[in-house]
Amino acid sequence: MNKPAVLRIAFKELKDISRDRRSLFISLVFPLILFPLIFGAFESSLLSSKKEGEKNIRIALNFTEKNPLADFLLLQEKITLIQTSTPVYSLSKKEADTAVVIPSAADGKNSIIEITADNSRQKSVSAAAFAEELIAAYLNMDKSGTKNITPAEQTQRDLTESINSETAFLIKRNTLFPPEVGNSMLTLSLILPLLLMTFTSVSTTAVAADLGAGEKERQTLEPLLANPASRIQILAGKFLAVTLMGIAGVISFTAGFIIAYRINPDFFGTGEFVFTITGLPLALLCIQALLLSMIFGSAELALSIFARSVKEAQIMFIPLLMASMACGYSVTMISPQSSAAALFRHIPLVNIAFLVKELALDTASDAAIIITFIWSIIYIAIFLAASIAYFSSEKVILRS
Amino acid sequence: MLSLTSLSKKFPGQIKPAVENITFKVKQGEAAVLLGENGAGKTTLLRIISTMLKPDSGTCNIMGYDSQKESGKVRENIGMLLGGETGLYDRLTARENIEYFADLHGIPRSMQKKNIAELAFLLGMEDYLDKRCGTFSRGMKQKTSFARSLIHNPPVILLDEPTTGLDVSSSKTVRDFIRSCRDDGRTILFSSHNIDEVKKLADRIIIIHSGIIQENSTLEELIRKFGKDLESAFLKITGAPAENGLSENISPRNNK
Repeated sequence: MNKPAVLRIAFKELKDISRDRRSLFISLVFPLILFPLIFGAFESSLLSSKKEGEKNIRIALNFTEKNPLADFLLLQEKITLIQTSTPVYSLSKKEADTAVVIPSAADGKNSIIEITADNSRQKSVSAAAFAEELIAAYLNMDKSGTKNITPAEQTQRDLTESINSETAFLIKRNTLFPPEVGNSMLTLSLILPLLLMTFTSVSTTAVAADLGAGEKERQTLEPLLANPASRIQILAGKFLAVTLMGIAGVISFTAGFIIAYRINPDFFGTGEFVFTITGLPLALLCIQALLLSMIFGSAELALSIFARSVKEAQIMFIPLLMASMACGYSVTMISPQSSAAALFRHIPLVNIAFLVKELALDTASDAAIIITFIWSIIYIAIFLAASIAYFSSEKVILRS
Repeated sequence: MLSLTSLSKKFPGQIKPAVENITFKVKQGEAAVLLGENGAGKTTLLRIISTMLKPDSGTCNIMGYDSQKESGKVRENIGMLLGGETGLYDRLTARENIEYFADLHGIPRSMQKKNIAELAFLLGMEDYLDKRCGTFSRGMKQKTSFARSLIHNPPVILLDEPTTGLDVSSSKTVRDFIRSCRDDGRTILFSSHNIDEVKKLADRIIIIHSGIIQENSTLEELIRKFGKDLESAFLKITGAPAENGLSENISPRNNK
């Protein structure tokens, strides 16, 4: 084929595409506005999370009575002190960001101050480092001093002398979980939302286009509608098929993932990897994955019924796939403890990705689970209602 | 039996109704044809009868069931075959395509097997019954569609241009089959714009033009009223130009 012919064909195709407004919007305009919208929305939440993180570090300390170190810490900005006899327990219950255990006087000289971080949470690791810096500064405080010191500094100096006059303290850093477990939890909380959102949406796409638009394209829809089965029954059958394929796809993706890890254990770049989600969180995660398959299945079914051809249906799926991946990625930047978390529970798809992250960290509250499940069921109901409406519309059915 | 009374349907955005004030009956054991040009309203009418479309006004009654109020019962009693492109699932075999529709009609598996064997014999499709439809010729597809439409032994058969695009032998098989269905006492309504097919199959000819029924009578009556043969009668009724009667606007003389 000579070049002018190739160019002529390309020109014709481009002209044809340029007249398809829907394709143009999805191919060019949608990607243009998707990420600015997402990042615009998340920028404010990230800033608020960051400020919150800087402002409020919750330290669980094992002194319940008056203690100079506690007094010193209370003088610091950004610190909320939780005085408890069991700091590590408070940390494990997410009531604190780090736990500090100070030995009592009976422990004698060379006592060890233990600072524990929840190594499945980035904020806790940062909080422990911050607490260590503070305590180290406190222990090494210059006792000679100067004349022009503030009352607060004077208090610090007195306290330092009282605690540090006879005993030599060492600081020891602990982690709540063995390193491989903590790293695994952290890794899972980052990758699981993205993978689940991506796997589920892609798995259903493969079959959904054929279920509605495919029937129109091969002209099997009319014989099907001339059967005694009601349109609701036909839709229900198609919905079941797409959901099952979605679940099968997620299982297949997961199996592939496990095989990849077995082949290369450094797959996650975190050394040994442990799947840390067990018991109830795992069951809840499976339920959420099922609901997610149903959401994508119903949404894609509605689009497929509306579309006049398989090609058009596939074009319509693109924004859904991009949005699901973007939502899965976006929650990596949100802390479950942030004040913006309440808002994210009501944003479609983001709320699901967010719950998956919380389940991976075992921090999901009952309220979060219930709210997200209810939203998931509402989304499914909305998309199924749209499917029924489209399937009942003569204009849509005859759209070919 | 099939009965339509004052049936009208207008699509949104269209100026004229697709079909207007349609009234006719087709008795049991009778084969009636909807004869009309492309866009006359034949397929719309068949879609309304099969409950796929809802009429704006009027009623449609099949075997005593109202197509609006008892649409499920109506669909149980009809077998519908759409012409043009034959809609089959290419990745399924002919047998699987037929079984799928038999399942939807709630036919027990044992009866399905018997019915499929009978239809395959009558339509001459035994050789490819277990082959995937994606590889079929148009005639093979049409026969499979036929078997699929009739697997539940419906008393009323609706056929939209059943022999369009078929070769001579496939057309004959299909025509013979329609005739045998009529002889079995089934009610048949089919659409066509093939004069020869109409002459061979139809007991009653319903001529439809621009969505309105122009004539509803037998072949003999039509010829007696309008001319020497069905073709000239049809052209007179619909006002279409005869083969050698080109409009003056497109006459070669005007190009001089």
